[in-house]
Amino acid sequence: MTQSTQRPGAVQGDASLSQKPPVGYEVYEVFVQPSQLEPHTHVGSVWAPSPEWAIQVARENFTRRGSAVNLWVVRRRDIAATPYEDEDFFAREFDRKYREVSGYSDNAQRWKRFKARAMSIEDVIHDVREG
Amino acid sequence: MPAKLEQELTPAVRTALVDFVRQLADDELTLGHRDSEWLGLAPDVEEDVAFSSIAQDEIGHAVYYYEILQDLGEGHPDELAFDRPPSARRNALLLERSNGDWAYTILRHFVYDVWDAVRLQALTRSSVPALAQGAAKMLREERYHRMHMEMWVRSLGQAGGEALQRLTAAVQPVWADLPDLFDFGPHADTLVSSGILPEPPAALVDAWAQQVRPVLEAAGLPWPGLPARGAHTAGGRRGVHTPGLEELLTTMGSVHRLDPAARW
Repeated sequence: MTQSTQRPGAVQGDASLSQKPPVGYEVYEVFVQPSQLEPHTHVGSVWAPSPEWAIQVARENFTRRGSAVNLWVVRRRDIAATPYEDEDFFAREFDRKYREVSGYSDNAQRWKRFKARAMSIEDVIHDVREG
Repeated sequence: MPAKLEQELTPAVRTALVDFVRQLADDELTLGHRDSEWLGLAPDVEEDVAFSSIAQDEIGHAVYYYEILQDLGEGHPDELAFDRPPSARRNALLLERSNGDWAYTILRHFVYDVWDAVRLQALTRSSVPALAQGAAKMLREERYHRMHMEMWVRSLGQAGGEALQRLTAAVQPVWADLPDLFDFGPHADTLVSSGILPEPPAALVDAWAQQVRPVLEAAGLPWPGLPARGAHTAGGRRGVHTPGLEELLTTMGSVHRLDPAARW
């Protein structure tokens, strides 16, 4: 940033403020379980030098408001994940509507129509026997 | 809300109780404010939030004590927090010192948290129900403050280098303020005999040392020993403060003084 374009009060570019982690720090993903009846939910992540520190700072950062009965921290590099570049992993090339529940949404009406027709067949049988 | 004070207090016991609750309240408020001054400046953003959260806990404890004082007819908590001059404050000098560096902040907080825990442990058996009930609740929160500070002391010490250097340098100024922290003021004997403080101060100091020593040693610091016990004539518990408190109160009360009658 040159002097002429710098806004008043703007912070001078500082290499130490870049995305480089502090020595020994790693990212830990944080999961909070709000009650024994609910699963752990991902709530965010923290930088920390050890799992113990991650739990310490996660406690104050993510459980201050709202209830919690359990906290997980997981080293981000220990998580196995799909690469974003591998878009084919999630490819859906063909029509998959047949896998969706929407095909069942008019079941009630179809059933009603079927029952109506079935009754008419019974009526026919009844007529035959009576006749 | 603290439990109502129902028992009849003799004037001497009442005076001792008011003085003691001021010590407890002012300790928490003063340290809570000093903690809050780290907002935006702590070593990393996670610690920034964590330290502010701890600051808010301390202020919450102060409010509880100020409500006890209100029950005793000593005025509204806001007035007690913002409007009293330094001479009416009973916090320990250790807690009003400016923050210095992170190592001093951490070591001060750690030795105070252990002292507070030892004091609260005794207060769970206090003859004053509001103090006993409050102490039991506060202990649950203070346990995590103490754990947090203890991890910092160990981490700074075990990191070596500049961190250990700064931690070592913090020992002397913190230790110089210990006799004042351990002082219970001019009514100490009445506090013990009335059961308000159901444990003699000397026993609390021993319990404190037993908990602090192993942590310092784990951090690679030599145990500086306990300060000599002497008679107190001045200090924080007797309303004799440093310019640091004046500065702190000016900053802390600046918004309140814009309009003392404002409703928040």
